[in-house]
Amino acid sequence: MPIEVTDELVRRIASLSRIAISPEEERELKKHFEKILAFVSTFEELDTKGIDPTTFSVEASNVYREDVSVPSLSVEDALRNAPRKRDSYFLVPRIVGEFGGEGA
Amino acid sequence: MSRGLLEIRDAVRSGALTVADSIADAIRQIRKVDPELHAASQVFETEALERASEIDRSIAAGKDPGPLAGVAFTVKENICTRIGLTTAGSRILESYRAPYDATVVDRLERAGAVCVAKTNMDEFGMGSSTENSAFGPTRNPWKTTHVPGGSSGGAAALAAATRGMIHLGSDTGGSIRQPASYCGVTGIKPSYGRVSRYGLLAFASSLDQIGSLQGSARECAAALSVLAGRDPMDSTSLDREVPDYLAETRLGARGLRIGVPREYFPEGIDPAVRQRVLEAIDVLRKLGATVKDVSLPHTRYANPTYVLISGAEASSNLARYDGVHYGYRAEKHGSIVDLYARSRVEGFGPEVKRRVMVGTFVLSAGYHEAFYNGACRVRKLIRRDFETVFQEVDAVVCPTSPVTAFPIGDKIDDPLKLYAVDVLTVPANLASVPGASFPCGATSEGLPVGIQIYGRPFEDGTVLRLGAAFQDATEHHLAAPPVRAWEPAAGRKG
Repeated sequence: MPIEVTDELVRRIASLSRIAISPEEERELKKHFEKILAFVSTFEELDTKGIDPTTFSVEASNVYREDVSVPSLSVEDALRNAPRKRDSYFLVPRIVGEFGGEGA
Repeated sequence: MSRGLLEIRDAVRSGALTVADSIADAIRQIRKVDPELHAASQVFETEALERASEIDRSIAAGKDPGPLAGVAFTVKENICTRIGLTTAGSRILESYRAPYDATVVDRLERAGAVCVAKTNMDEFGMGSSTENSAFGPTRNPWKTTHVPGGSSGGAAALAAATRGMIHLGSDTGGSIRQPASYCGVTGIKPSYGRVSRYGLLAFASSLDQIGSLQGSARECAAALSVLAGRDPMDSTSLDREVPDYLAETRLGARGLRIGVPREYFPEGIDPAVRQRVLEAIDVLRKLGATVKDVSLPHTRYANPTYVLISGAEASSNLARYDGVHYGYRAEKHGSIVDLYARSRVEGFGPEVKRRVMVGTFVLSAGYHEAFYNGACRVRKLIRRDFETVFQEVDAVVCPTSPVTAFPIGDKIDDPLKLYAVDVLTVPANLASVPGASFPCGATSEGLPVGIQIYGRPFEDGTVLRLGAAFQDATEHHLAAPPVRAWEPAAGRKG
């Protein structure tokens, strides 16, 4: 299907990806998207009607285990790599309200 | 010293070699070549020598040290180790310390092997040259102006320049096999589900698989017997018997039927690659394998399918790098969303950003059905191609990459040009079949060429068996690169 790669589409994808891009990167990405779309367009010639999409190609279906508790990562270990933390929490900018600085 | 892995193992078991001496030699080898190669990102000398002495003491106390006692191993930067850092070659994880060992690391250690270093890679496995590492490119030991391939380029360069170790890599679209080919070493991507992925930083979960790069098919077999098996921590690892892969490598090529797919000698293939691979196929024929032409008709759709599926899965897997839980956090930011977006733009390199965004696009409302589901349907057709061919033959044999190692900087500006070098390796990941690359000679420039062997799912042993038969009849895997820490055996040319 022919898709026009607009500036708005590129900005929307960057925003959905949570990647802040500069206008210059935006232009580069637009070109890259156009190339990628041309690259994958060979699909159109294939008839794939009636074929189930494969996500994992192994025969295992659901894998169950007993619901028993086992030791897992301690709070200390889980927080060890956190860029900012306080007590037993990850510290982030205020989420309630539109603006906010770091922490409460 | 330059002993092979099996010699080291036997010498340690017989008491002729201490683990401490073996590990010290491995570290000496790495230190000797690394200034030229930039392949080892971290070396764990103190920890490794301590661990080696512990094993020596337990041997002295009469304990069985395990099937790989005294063998050194290195770990690609995207596989978690409790010691050192686990960076995935990314700025965003430049100071990340994993709180646990990956299952593969744990299994090797329990078998008596000792972790000596971590190896450089393309950021999060996204690349085919190791130029996408945030910490600088690795160089090819055959020609240091050239790339080692990627993304397991550090592992491949060390596998060529040193002897007797296991180099753990990961392969999402060729990241073990293609660098193995470019560096003239043996590298296997096992069947999907054969080896636990627990502790592998996910790139594309339905395609990722851990394997090893080593000096020969038999060395890979010795490692795979330890690495393979069900792991409760990875529900996609299957509960299948782990055969004695080493025993299987002694069965020879006679009686095996191999298929040569006409689609795997594409337009633009380096004539020297074609020639070396055809010569290698001739060797297999002379060894008693039956060779026939086969067709995998959907091969040309494999690369676009791979770009879409791996991108989609990457965009989801890499969402966890948010500047909050671990990894790099942007200094300046406003809201929480701004914190995410700035941490990611500053922490990720250009190729990772491109792939995440392509993946986001593929999964976004309005495009998901055409692109993601479309690619998953084509994936099934590619898998069916293999199922059909594997009714007639036991293995498929082809080049690993249509080209050999290229100069550093040559393809980095055009991602699509770089994707083209993976065209012969991505089908294995899409179809979940095992694949391995074995050295089969060189170009007139002296750059190694690899022959790739594919097997049926969970018939990794057949792949290694054919590779071992080939290596018993040839000396390509013994060729010595100019940058190395070992001496070839007398009578062999360098």
